[in-house]
Amino acid sequence: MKLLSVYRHMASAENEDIKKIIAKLKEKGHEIVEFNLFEANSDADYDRLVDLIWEADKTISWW
Amino acid sequence: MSYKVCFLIANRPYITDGLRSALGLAVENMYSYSFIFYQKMPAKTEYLEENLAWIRDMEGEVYAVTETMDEETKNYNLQEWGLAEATLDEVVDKILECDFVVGYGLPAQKIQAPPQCA
Amino acid sequence: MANDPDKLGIFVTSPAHMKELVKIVEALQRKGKKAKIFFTFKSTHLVFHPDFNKLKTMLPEEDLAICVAAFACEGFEPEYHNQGLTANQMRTQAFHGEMLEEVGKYLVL
Repeated sequence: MKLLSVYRHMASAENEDIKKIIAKLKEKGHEIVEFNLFEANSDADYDRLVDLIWEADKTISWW
Repeated sequence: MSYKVCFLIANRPYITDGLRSALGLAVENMYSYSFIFYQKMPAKTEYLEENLAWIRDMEGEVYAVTETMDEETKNYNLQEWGLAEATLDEVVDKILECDFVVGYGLPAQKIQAPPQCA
Repeated sequence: MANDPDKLGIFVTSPAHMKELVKIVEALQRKGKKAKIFFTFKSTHLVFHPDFNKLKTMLPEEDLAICVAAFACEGFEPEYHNQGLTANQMRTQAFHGEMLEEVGKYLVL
C-alpha cells in the first residue's frame, strides 16, 4: 500500500511515536511518502500535495 | 458502505469531541475505533460514559496507547475508564485495516493541560 | 450518493490551518478537482476568519458545512453567529459520514 503521511505541525514531524509507527509501516513493506504541511508555502507545494493525495492509497494527516 | 475509520487523538482538550465525532460515524453504521495517545481521559461524566458505551454497542472501541503514557495516566485510563489497551503495533494494524484515518485535533501539548481545562 | 473520484473530503479539526485549507482548495481548482469540507469542534471558530467568506464562494452550498452542535458548545448562537451559512450548512456529524461515502480522497486538517 502507498501511504501519504502529512505533518500539520513540526511537532508531529519530530514526534518519536509517529516515527516508530512510520518505521513499522515500512517494515511491513508499505511505501511511505511524507509531506511537511507546516513548511508548504508556494502554489507548487500545494499542487504537489494534491498530486500526492491522489497517488496514495491512503492519507494519514498527523496533528 | 460500512467503512472502518480510526481516530488518533493526542491533545487532551480534544478527547471528548473526538469521541463524539467517532460516535457520529458509528451511528452512521461505520466501524469506529479511537486511540488516545499520551493523555489522561477527562473526568467522568454521564455524557462521555454513555458515548463510550454507545461506541462499543456499535462494535467500535476506544483504546489507550499505553506505551505513550506514564503509569498514573495508564492506570486511570484502564482502571477508571476501562479503556482497551493498545500497543503501537496495534495502531499500525488498525491504520492499515481502516479505510480512513483521522488525526484528530492538535498535537500533544508539551505541558499537560492545566486542571482548569479538564 | 455515488463516490466521486475527483472530490477531496476535508475534515477540519484544527483551528490553526485556515491558510493551508484555502491553498488546498485553490490547488484542487487548478487541477479541475472538487472539495467537500466539514468543520468540527474548535475549527468552527474559523467562520470568523477573514478568509472564510472567500472559501464559501469557492464551493457549492452542499459542499461546505460546520458542526452546529460543536458551534453551540463553543458558546456561539447559531442563529446570530452563522456568518451567512445556510441551514443546510449547519449540520451534525452525519455530514462527515455522508462526506466519507461521497468523496474519492480524504484529508484531515
